[in-house]
Amino acid sequence: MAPSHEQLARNARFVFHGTVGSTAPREVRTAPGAQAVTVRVDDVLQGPEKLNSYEGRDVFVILKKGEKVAKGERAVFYANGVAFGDTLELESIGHLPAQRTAGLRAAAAPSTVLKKRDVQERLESADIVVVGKVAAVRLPPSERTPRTTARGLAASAAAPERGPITEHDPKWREAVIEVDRVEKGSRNPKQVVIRFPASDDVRWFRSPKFVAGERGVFILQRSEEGAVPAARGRATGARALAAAKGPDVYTALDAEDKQPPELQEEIGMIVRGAAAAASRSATSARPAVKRKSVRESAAKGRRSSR
Amino acid sequence: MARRSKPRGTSRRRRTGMTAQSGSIVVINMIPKALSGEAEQDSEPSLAVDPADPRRIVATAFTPDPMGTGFAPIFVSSDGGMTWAVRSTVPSANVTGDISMWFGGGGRLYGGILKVPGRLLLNVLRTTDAFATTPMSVVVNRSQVDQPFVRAQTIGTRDRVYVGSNDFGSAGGRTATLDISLNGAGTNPEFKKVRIERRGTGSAGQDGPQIRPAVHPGGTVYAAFYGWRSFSATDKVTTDVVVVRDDQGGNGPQAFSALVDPSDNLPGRLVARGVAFVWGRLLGNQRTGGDIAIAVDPRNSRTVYLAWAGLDGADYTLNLRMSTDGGATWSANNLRTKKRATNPALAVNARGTVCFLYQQVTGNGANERWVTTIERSSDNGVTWQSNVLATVPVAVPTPQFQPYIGDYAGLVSAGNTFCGIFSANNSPDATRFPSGVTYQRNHDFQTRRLFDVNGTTQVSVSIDPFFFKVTD
Repeated sequence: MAPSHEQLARNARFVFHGTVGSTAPREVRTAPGAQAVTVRVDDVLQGPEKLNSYEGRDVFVILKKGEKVAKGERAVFYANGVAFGDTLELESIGHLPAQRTAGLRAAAAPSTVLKKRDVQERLESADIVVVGKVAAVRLPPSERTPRTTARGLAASAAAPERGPITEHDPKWREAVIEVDRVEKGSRNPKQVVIRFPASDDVRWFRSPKFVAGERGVFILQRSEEGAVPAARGRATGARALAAAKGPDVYTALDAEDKQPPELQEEIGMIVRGAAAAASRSATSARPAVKRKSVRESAAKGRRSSR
Repeated sequence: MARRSKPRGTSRRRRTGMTAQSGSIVVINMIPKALSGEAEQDSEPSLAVDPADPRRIVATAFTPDPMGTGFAPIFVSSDGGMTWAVRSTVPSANVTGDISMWFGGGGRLYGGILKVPGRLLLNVLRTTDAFATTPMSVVVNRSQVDQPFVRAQTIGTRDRVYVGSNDFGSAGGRTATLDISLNGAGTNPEFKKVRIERRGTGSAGQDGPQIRPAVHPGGTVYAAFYGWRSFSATDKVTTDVVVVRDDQGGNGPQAFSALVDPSDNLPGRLVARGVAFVWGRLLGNQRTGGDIAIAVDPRNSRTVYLAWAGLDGADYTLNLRMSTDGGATWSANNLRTKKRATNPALAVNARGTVCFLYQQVTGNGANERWVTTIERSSDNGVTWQSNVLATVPVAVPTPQFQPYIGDYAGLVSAGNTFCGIFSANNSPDATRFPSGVTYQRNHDFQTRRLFDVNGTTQVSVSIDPFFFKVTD
């Protein structure tokens, strides 16, 4: 059975109505031996903001093995980027002919559609999703010791007991969240703590920052990355997070992990929809297959197509 | 379609790889036309030139994957840097925490990254085809490591690979480290860690993040680093500038012990002592925390140049010195001193000409500018020829993150040619590029505006990587 629009769109970063220009064989440096066609982008359905202006432009699409298109054919193309040079080269996940996609139009701006898919992925991998308010922002226990104490050790002493001095220091902070509602998760805490990087270093600047008083939907993970910096004799990594006293401690490191409160209802529907689908899957006789992320699929596709 | 015009006073450049006219300077904005809508902060660039075919060049920066597919991008050029394409082959989630690359033999490319996600997670990468779209392979994977910096050299039929890093897993706070493979092209290349700090690091408890190897084609390897000695309550670093050398490429039990300092008879020549700077203090809108560059003359492994940063009074200042005896003694005075400057890069070409790249803040207040300059000397640093590549406002655009223009820039020699890379404000204003400039992305030099791929939607000014090339 041919894949649906929904199935293909979940594995593609760039989805567009296009018209096949030339199907004459052309040399594609990035994929020797592969067949590439020129496609005019008529209407972008889903894609990063940087590609919004491609409407009316030609792109090269490297077809997947066995995929066929005809000159002049109109179709919806599902693709991922391979190379940006003088032109844009895409690698096809597949395409659906125009007659099967009649009336298919983006419900929102292409970048918004893609962002929603990214949020959906974060929701699927989240340990807990809560709606609430940032009651306070504080230093985590590991950061409360003044730097002078740690770094003022005598030269003859053992290496100071603190995290390393690096330009990539996350500068961990903790946001204490008063939980109004749990959208995903088996527990029902009144409070959770989000450990977040206050750093503006390239490694961390995209991670959400939190300020007291703000409300939102928080998509949270128990993450190794947010663990207390190693101090000798103490638990580290996820064990340290798990062992932390008081409210549960999580991280929200992806840019999509903090969503505005107005999206609460929509996010709740996504979570409940996913839960219902998982329940149906569990009750069916077939073994459950974990859906691959777009990124995993893109990587696998690139490896297998060579 | 945007009008594409040439900068005033710039003649048409030949697009023939390394055959640029002697003395001429070529500057290229590296963002490709297909990414004309790009407005990211593409800072901290690095560059690698394939010694087997110098037309093949790879560059990196903090450019995120335009598609968000889960791999970080590299820039590639197959025509000597005149045109560039972006492809995402680095196994790190859309960006890296740090990245540098270098070519070995046979077109093999080696990389050192801090992987995302991960906590200071070093990955040493390798590919046999830098221009393929298949992801690079991971050959080393280790955490608690900072600022990997890669160099390689083919000796006989084998690639020797050197990755400088600040390895916090090292005992006793002696963190300056080289990961060395004497056969990087092997099926499962073995990397050994060599700790090149032999002294105590005092209250700092570690060395500085910049550990920079330089490899001579004959096999001699140098490495330069900051041997931190103290770190104060006000984040002031006091440090030695240390150079180590190994004449067998690190292939021996007492690796990198060839240079001994007469003051304590320990390996590692203390080129400068008591150097100070303040960790994280801004220069312009770029953080500082030390800068080191080292280069060896390909004609003579005993001739080596070293640049480092430290405070001169209140000014963060670059110092350049040379040694003609393999690092045992150094010029008593600076060959060059550049106040309020950062991102030094050094290379020596096949004729023995040394090239010194740096980025300097000039002016004051609203007139502050980032000025990117190369200086070349063909007489062992007696006389210098200076060329400004870019002079742009310090305050525009607003920083998205640190580093604003990068904690380093890049410079490579290939024959008689120097190839380099720096990051700067990308406004298409020919007056800001006194040595000329060519843009691939849609632009209009008359109105000084950038445009998206549709040629009509205006794009904001941002930080872009610029490639340059000059033939001696």
